[in-house]
Amino acid sequence: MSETILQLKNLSRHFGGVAAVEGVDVEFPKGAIVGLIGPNGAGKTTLLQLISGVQMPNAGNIVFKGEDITRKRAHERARLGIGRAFQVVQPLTGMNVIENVTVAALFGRNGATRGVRQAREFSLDILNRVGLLAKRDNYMSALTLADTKRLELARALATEPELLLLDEVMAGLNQSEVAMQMDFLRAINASGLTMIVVEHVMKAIMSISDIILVLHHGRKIEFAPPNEVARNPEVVRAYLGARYAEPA
Amino acid sequence: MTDRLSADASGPISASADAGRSKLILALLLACSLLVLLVVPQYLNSYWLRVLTQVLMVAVLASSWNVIAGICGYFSFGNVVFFGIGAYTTAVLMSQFDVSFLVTIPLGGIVAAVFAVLIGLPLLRLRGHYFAIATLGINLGAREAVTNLDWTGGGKGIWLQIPDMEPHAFSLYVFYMMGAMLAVTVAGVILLLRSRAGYAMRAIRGNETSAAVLGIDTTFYKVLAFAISALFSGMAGSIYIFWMGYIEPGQAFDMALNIQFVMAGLMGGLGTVVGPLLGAAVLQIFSELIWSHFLQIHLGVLGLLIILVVLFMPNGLISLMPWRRK
Repeated sequence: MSETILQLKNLSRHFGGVAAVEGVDVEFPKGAIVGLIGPNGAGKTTLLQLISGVQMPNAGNIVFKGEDITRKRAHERARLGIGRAFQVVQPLTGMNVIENVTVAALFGRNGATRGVRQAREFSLDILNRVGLLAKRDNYMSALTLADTKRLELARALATEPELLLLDEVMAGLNQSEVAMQMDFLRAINASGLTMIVVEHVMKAIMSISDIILVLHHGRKIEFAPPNEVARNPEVVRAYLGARYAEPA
Repeated sequence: MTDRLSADASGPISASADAGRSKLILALLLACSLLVLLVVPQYLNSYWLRVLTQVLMVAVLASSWNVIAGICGYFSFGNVVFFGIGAYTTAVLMSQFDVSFLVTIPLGGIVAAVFAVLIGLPLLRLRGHYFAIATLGINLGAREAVTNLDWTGGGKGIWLQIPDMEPHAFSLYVFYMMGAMLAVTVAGVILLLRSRAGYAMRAIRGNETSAAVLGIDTTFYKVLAFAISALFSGMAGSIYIFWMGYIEPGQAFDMALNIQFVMAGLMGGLGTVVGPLLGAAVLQIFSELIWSHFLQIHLGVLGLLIILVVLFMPNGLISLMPWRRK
């Protein structure tokens, strides 16, 4: 792997006496799909919170495209090109589907160059790509779970990120929806977008990721391609279960 | 691809026809009310002119409050402080510096807006309910400050010179001033809702964490909403002092007035353009009618009405309008 897009240096976040993320050192290669796995409470979501700037670290640094962004606030990081889809969908209530996406198009990486009208047109295009175009005037109460996940993704894409953080965007979807979602993620990755993907659907994450970061009790215990991760006994003990320990 | 297109086809057409119809209704309503406002007042006695001016003023204040509370989702329970600041700005400028009334109106708004920025910058970094409580305290603080300063006339207040106008003509003049102020406020709110700032403010109300992650500088837009709210409220205060000819702290920073425009906003429907106007009109006119028919228990009857509206129309009277669908 060549260029580094994101670098975490000795990153830590404590909640009282609990270390949610502890001394994580890792370099994310540009253009890769990075799977982020670990048992419940391993610090996956906290790590995404730190990268997107929703929470600030207690120690360590975050370097994005060569620039230290550790002290930058969430909206500044969004404008630099870090996009985020939340685990628990966080729609802008009181705004319909197209308005949700328009906000992202207005304030994301190239948002300052657009007026409201252009942002709406841009959003129509994104909604078409995620398959939500027909529901653009709907409010949240009229959307299915799969739709809200699509909306979460559409909104993150509308900020035109270079690094996209996806927190369980497949949770709660059925088999065919997961397959569609994976195809879609591969397609947007092919356009050059780097992704960090948190997912509990193990088959999905193993097949989609170029490289996998394993967290356990907030610490990095492995950062390697999927096949190596599956063979690492420490990872297996921590998380995956005996079934994955056997050679394929 | 084709079936997606055809599935869409029914959507936008019916939606735009619907939007067209509601625009027509709105335009007709506006034209009618404009006609009524222009013609009818000439034939009203001073009592009803006074009632209607009060309706317009509460509508301005409810619409202004709507910017921070309804559009941006931050309940400021002491917004009347900006009304008071605007009123005192005009009172001081007119009585001590002989500035003409019309010039003091924008100045009243600007002083209030600057004050909003100064208190908003520390307060609006916080999320949630602290803000509501803090604004309540700030109104009380401003009232105490004005009571204890010399150049504001202290507790005695400030008298303006009686304008050189025949009383009914004066009432008409104030009525039209307040009407123009309402037009400016409503136009401002409509423009705001269509602008990127409007999108940012609605997004903050919808979900502040999401708004930040989507690139919105939430503190900036919260302070902006607060300042716009203060601007219009302050200008209304300027007109009010000219109307009354006299101001004292209790009347400028009056919590009863604050409750009136908050109730008007809640009753009419927050976050919409028309809701606060509807709420102000219904609340003020009902309050007047109830007062004249149930002198002893009028606050009780009014309270009951408000409870009924809040219980059965949580989105406000606006949900009765034909073009609202959700």
